[in-house]
Amino acid sequence: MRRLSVALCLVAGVAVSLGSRVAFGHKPSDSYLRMSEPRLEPDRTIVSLRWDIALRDLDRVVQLDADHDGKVTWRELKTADPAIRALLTDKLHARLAERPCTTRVEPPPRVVQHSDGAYAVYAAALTCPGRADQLELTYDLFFDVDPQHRGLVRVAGGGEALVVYAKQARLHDVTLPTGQEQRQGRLVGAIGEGIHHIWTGYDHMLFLVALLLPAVLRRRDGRWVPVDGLGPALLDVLKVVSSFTLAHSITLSLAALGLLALPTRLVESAIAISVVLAALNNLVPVVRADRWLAAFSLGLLHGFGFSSTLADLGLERSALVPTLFGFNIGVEFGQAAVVAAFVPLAYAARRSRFYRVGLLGVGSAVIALLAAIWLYERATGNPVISG
Amino acid sequence: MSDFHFSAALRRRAGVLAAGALVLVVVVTARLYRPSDAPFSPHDDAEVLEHVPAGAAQSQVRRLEAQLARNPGDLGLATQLVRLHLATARRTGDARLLSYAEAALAPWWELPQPPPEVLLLRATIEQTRHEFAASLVDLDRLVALTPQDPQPWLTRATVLGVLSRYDEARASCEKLAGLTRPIVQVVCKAGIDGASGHATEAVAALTSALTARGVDPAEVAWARSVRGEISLYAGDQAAAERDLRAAVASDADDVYSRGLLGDLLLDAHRDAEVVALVAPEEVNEVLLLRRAIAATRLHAAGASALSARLHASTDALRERGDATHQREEARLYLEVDGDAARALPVAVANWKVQHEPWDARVLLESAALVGDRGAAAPAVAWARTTKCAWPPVVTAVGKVSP
Repeated sequence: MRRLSVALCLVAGVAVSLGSRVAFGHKPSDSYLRMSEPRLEPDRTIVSLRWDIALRDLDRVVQLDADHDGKVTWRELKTADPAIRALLTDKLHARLAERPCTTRVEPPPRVVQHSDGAYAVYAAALTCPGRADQLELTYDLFFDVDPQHRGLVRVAGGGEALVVYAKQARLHDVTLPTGQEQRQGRLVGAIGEGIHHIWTGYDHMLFLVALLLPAVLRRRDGRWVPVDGLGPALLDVLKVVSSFTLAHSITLSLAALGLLALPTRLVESAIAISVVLAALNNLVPVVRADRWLAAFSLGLLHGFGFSSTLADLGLERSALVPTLFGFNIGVEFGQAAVVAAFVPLAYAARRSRFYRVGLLGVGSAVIALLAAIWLYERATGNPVISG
Repeated sequence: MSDFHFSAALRRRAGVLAAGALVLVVVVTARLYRPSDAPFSPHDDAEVLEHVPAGAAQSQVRRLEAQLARNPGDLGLATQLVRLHLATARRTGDARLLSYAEAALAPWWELPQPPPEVLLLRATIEQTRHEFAASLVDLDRLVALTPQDPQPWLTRATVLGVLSRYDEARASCEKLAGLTRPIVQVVCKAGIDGASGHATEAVAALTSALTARGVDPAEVAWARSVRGEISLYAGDQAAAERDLRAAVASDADDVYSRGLLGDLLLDAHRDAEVVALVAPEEVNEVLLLRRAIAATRLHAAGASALSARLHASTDALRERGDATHQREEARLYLEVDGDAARALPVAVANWKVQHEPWDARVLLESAALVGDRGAAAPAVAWARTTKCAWPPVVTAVGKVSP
């Protein structure tokens, strides 16, 4: 039974209304820190973190909602960025082998959705003199205004250990993962991400399909006719797919190494254009024999698209090579699966009217239309379809 | 390389197969696609990322917080602020607010002898967090310090009732005699009687108190909500629905009565009415649980998204070491997922914390489905002692006892 609530009003003449249990919903406040493999240098150790902090909690301390309209906008978050970083830098301290580390919180923030709302995501680095595998980490965020707040620190590597910081437990020894188990975990994780990305990135997938559709046909007298043998078809597929792969590997590496950067919106829009062009080329062929060249040049674009995904994985310099390598392998695996499923069937069906009209014609038109909608969405920021 | 020759029919079949494969690829892709949990940078400066408290009530909170920061020792300001937080928490179920209330009481919270008003608020917050033992310690001290104040006796009776210590709870209600208006004592005692096998007497006492002259509307709503709950657990759905609807109509913030009403409708298989009772934009997840159960049964669009959201909340709570919501967690597994094996250990752990009809029911039903009579034994004993007549409990007891 409950309801002190009304009773409190009646008896004490005040408006505490807490009889019913405040339950389940809206968990108390947490922030999440994900610690990755330390980078070992000759005389120092650098530990990178991804730190997710609820916007609601930040609003209480640094007043995100500057215009008090009850909404925190991306502009308001960016405006508050220096104050947030000052706060965070002040609340996370580490010592390695008794010697203090320096805390750095990097702009700009990004945003992520957790079960109880939007969080700001910051990259942070602890730079410590010397080397050791026990980090003495002190976490002191929000406890003064929210005594039930928790800081949940997840240490990457083998066991995914979780360390919970609370008002009464602000200091813990955190065991840093060793490089070996880290690298293995990272490689496998990156391969998985690569496969996931190619399978869920409709744009890359449709680009590939648009390029593959005519591989079992050739042009004669302004018409599509079936190729005679499997050989030419396979050669064509091989040329197209490896050009695409080579091209996107090049730009992905360049972007991941920080040597080349293009605005995300521009890249995403250009990728949409590339899909439109690839599909239209099947309807009104302009590029013929040299489709591998088209695959190569447009593949360069797609590599930039991959790189933004890779950046979201939280890439540290120390783990760049295995992550990049794994991600590329994953993307190739995903592509190979599509090709292996598609080519034999397409080859067998190449003589049918259905293939030429239904798949090549209508299919390409649908792809072109879909990509045109993406282009509109990406260029204007207005969603038309979800996904 | 030589060419293969296919018959026209085979070619057609292969064409259909290729189309099928393409459709399959698209479908699989669409199914694999999930809204990314990867961080992103919004494109638009004006994009709204989060809603935060604002408006008059929030300005008052900010003003009080600022005043309190200037006068950290001002207990009057602190209790005023705490009451604001608790009133909002009651409506939204937002556990953060309980913590803000605790922060406002910080100068007194850790004192060996906090002032009575702090003890009362602390006991209320502890009770809300299901820290019943700590809450009772504070309330016992409080009734010794201020035996003339009715509120601690009432809160104490509530906590003892949740722990199924009915005799002590009833004694606490008796202490209210002469301290406050008679109906308060009647409701206190009826709540305990109703929970411990005397539903008929409890309903009669409440009905008689409600017909008395000069009962104010808030007291009426409170008494009807209690009577509705007693009727519900006594198996009188029609009477329960009348009272609970009246309580909900007179106090839109009464989440507890809305939750009971939702459960009543779910048991009557009036799932569409539950969906109507709890709006999709509802913030209180206790109510959203009822909506999720109904939506799952109706195979409604959005059911899986809602279920995923509640699972994410539950997982996040468990990760931070919070066991406050095990009743709801067990119900989520049992009634939304249909996973009794997963629900049972949670229901067992929950029974160690609290003993109300729902705690017994979720334990009994999970144990019945899993076929674990041993796990159900404490709830069976409770149901017999309290002569619980709630049909779902009676049915479940029949399944787990010889």
